[in-house]
Amino acid sequence: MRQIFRLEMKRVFSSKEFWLVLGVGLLFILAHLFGKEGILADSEFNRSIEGVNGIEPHSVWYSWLGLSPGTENYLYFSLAPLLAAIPYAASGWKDIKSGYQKQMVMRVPRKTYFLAKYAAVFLSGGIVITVPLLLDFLLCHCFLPAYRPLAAYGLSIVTDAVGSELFYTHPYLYVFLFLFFIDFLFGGAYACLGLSATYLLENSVLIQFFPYIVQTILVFLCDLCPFPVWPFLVNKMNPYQPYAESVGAEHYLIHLLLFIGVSFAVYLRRGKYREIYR
Amino acid sequence: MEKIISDVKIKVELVFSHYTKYIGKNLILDDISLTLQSGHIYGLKGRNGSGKTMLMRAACGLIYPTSGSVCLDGKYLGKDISFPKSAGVLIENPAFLPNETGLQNLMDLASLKKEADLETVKQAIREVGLDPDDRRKYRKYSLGMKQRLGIAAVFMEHPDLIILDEPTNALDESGITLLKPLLERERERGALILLSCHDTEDLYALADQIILIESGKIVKQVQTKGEDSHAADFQTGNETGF
Repeated sequence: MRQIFRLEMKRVFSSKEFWLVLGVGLLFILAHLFGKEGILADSEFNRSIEGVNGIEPHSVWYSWLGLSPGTENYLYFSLAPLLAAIPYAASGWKDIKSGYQKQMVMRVPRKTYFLAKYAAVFLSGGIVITVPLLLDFLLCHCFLPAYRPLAAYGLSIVTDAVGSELFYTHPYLYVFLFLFFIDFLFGGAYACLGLSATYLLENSVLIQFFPYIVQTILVFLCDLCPFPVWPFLVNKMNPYQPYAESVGAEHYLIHLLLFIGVSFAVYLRRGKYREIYR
Repeated sequence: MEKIISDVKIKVELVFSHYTKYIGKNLILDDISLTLQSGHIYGLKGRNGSGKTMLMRAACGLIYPTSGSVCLDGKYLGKDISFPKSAGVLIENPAFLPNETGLQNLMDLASLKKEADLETVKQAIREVGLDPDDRRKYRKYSLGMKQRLGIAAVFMEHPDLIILDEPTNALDESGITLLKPLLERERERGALILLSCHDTEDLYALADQIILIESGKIVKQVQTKGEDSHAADFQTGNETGF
């Protein structure tokens, strides 16, 4: 298992798509830092005088890509299902079409190959979503102070958001937990959702778009329901939690388990019993 | 790390029992019963679409039977084991990672089973007439070079079961000449070799038993080498449909 997983990860890191998506992430960072409405658009002096709405001094906690509501933030988290799937979600399909899958399954048990593939796809999705956010977080620290946010002013996440108490007491812990337990896991889950479409779709681009399509359909369906969960579906990876009033931690858990469970069952079960012609 | 090729010959037996395969309503393999043993090179001969490649896929567990079974050394493929434990397979086109060199590709594959070290892999590449130190990526290889690398991947781990579907495709004369001693060496070692080839002359030169297949059914087995040889009949086209 270790050898094939190592090979799969080597393929992830040597794929053009992986670096392309990280490049897109870098563009988001540049836009967020230096764009027209970026955090460094005004001089630091002016910004520090004005503060946030004239109340609190600017700090990392109001300016980080994950915590500053704005165009970059909205686009990044809306496109996350697509960004997560681009690097490696279509690799299972490509392996079948090229015949490379045959090379692998003749040398390792089928189940091992599918497990290694699933794990590599999961990690690829998690990495490409998390790394730009982490990089932006570090860069924000180069330009802005990190005063502890105050809940009383209500300038950042709302107080009934998941983990808000943690945010206002230990903001670093909140950010790292959100990055690694929400963004990383959902990034991986979206990539694996794309992988599960390997046996459903006949086009690698469609496979890469599959998680985004699924999310769009879910949003549409939820919009028809009386319970307004669609903002959560779009923004669940957003540490700012703009949907916070309507969800709890169980929403994250159910959503995550559903994505991982379905994609795991579909990809491994169908793969295990599928005949190999190419 | 390298698999030791000892004097003790390996023993492999591949048994097809009433193997029938349908795809949709099409009968692809029709009640195949066949016993193949190690130390032999079996050549599959048949027209396009006669079922040669499907029989090879069945032999290594890539497809499942509609009825019947394939048994390798007493273990049923698809039930006891998903694939043969030691097999080298080249069916249709060779498949490798386009952005790696030939050596990198084979080392990647060799790392999975750890049965071939760097020197063994390099030797396998040399044996098919390629340069292991060639820095060109696989995508820059010619068709013939790709085929040679595919053959090297089959032989590098000295598998017990070797399956080659049209290995002479895209190979020039020198490539075909290189293939013969490789097959003979593996046969002497005791490997079971199953190959198909569209060229009757090449097939006759490489195999010591020819299996004629028509519409998914085995119609005849012909010994091409040794005392029971019927090669003369076969080559002159006296067999059914040839």
